[in-house]
Amino acid sequence: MLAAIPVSAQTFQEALFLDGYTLSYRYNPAISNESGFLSVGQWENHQRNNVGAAAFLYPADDGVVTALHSSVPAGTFLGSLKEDNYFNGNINFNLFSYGWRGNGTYQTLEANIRSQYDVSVPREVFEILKNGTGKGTYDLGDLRIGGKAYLEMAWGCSWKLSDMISVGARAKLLAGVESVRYNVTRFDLSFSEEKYVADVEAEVDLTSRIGKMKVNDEGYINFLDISAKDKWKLPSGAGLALDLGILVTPVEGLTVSASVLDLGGLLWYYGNAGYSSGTTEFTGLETLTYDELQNGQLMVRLNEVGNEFMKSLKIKEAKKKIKPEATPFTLNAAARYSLPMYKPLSAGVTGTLTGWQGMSYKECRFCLAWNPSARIGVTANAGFGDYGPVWGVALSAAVLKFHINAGLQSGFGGTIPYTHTPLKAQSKRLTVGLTYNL
Amino acid sequence: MKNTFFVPVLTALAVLSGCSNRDYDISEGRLKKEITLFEDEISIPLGSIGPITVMSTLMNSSIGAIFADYIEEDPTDGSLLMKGKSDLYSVNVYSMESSVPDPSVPFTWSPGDQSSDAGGIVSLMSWVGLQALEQHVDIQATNPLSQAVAFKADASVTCYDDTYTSTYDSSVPLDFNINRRQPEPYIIYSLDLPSTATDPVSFISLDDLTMEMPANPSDKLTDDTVSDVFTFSSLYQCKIGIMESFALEQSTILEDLALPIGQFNLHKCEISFTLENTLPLSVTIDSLAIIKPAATEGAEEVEDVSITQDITIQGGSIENPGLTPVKLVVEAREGTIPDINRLYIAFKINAQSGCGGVAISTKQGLTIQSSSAKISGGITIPEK
Repeated sequence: MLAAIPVSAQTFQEALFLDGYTLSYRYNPAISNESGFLSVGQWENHQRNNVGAAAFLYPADDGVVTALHSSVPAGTFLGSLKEDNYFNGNINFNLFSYGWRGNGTYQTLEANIRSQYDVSVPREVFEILKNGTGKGTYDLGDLRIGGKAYLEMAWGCSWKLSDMISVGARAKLLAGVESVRYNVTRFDLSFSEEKYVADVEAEVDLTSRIGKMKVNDEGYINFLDISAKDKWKLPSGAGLALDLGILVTPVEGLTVSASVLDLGGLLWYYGNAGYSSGTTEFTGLETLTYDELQNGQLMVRLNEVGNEFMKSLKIKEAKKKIKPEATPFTLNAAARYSLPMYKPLSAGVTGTLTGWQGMSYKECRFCLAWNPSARIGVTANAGFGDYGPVWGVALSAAVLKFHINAGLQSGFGGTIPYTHTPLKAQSKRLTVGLTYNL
Repeated sequence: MKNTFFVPVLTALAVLSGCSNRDYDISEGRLKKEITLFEDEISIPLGSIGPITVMSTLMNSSIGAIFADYIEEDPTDGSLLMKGKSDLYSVNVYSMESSVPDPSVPFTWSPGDQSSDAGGIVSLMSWVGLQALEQHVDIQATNPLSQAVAFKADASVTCYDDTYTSTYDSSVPLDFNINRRQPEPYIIYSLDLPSTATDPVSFISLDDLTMEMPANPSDKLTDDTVSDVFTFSSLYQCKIGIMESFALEQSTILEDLALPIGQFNLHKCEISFTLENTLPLSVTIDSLAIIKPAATEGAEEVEDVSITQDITIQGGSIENPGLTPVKLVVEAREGTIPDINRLYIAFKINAQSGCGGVAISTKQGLTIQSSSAKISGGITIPEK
């Protein structure tokens, strides 16, 4: 079963096409600015889902019904799902960014808070809910939910090797703040008239800074009872990551860019950990007596036996642990050509590949940009990704020495009114920021 | 400058504002929350229920309540025991004295032949097709006086047309344990009927009963005596068997089943199980029907739900239980299956051949094994 991919934030492809965008080094560390800058509060929200709300909601005569409504055919609902259905999010906040030119290089220093969350549900969960247990065996592995937040301190440097080639690198020191993961690595269910059998292997990891999960007398973790901690403590994890890039201008007007971002990872210390492992069977009632049947105890006993079966899925406390986790890397490639007869207008293509634990997401866009001056630029793009057609717009505008930038990437398919929840699978990103040119 | 700045912004806003699809508007109650789970089928193992033994049925059913007061479990082998008690004869000491010409001298009291039935519901056994096995009769007496009284009688036990007799000649010893309670009874006669006697005891008799009373017997009553009565009574006991001619046809309504099926909005449910029967009885269920909640007047109304009919369950024994696979299909002809609180059942019970002469054990009964429910059509949870 496939795992959900955490989203990487460094995929602002428009960066190469906006001349006034001062944070382009995030896309390719080889890109430099003409002058120094200071940026505070750049905010980015990136969400990716491989199945949209339209798989779960269906218009009806007088409203909207859910996929579990009897009017929705099972084939329609289940056919719109993927093997693993996931939703990822990434919210990044830039504390500050500072860039300066000197010694023939362009250097940057910045601090960010990065957070990621994801949830993945295998299709067979919905298959059981919709169709029942007729198929007999089900694989519900790769059921997961998790989130993390960490600080990133990055130092970057861009070198112009020649008139045609620039290279760059960014080294990032990562400090883990919080992390929580619930991951079911194996969950085989079989149903028959005689018994249910569940073969489960799951783990939960929680960093100590969040709090301490309470454990009941039987040693099971109570997720709903976490004692809060308000002391400032050491980071819960540490790590390193690296960005590398190259920029080539083979002929005038043509720029070719290639970069790899976030090569590295973190070591997390999980002060609260739990596991669930083993096989359990449910065969119904074992000892319902006639007296209990006479006294209306049938449903009570069934509930008791059912709870006993569900207890096997509960998580038992485990020893604290240190776990490595790779950061999702990104490969970017792009080419931009400024029209010789009207240089403010340029066109190009971008390609992105995100990979993590064998999973990948890729897309390719065709871009148009108009940069009439260094003070304003606008770009638009359209293309295809793993989820279907994609589009994006971005704007960079200067007022005095302040540069405002905003960008939006999305797919097609519409949203639920008033919620902006995408109806189709898509990768959606919103970026807003302000820099001050020094 | 203004145009070059605002035109792309307005364009972007126009694009953004056109992205929502009003067909998926879920605001203001437009989202209908009714769902149906497991639309194809779901199988639920239910496990085992029981054993439903003769003893538990007798103790819990309205029919069995009639027999419950007279039935016990034999502590040695778990057999069902039927017991009865009846009074043969009693006489007050003062009545004796007032009836004789001169109570100041010893006298002989001869009340003549005394008899009674076995007591309880023993006489009903043949009527309902039950055999009386290993029958045992005791006759006991109580003496309220502080000294022994000699008596003589011919005791006999009669089973329908057969008579088993014996003669007993003895005396009732002094009751050294006279206390403020009833004097302890004393077994004066005991009889185990032969194994061939399977008809229940009809009469227990004391013929030619005579008692040699002392002078002024009332003077022999102590201050601690509670009763001033001589009593003769019989105690009866037998094990219960089933006649091979046993046949019962019955219909009844099972009440207070409390099965909350209605909340799940089921259309069809198959309940499969294997019935293990250790009783030497075969049961044929002719008819099953769900009865609507009791009406205040008029005939019982049946819910519009079809249930499998004509189910036959084979009999067996503890050593060789009868195993019958059963599949009950419950399907609503219209709507969904309602709560099941009252169930009408019509059935026939017949004895297995070769079951005669074998005592029924309290542990014999029915066990529902490997039961499961298969629900088709889904479980609908309505919007609330």
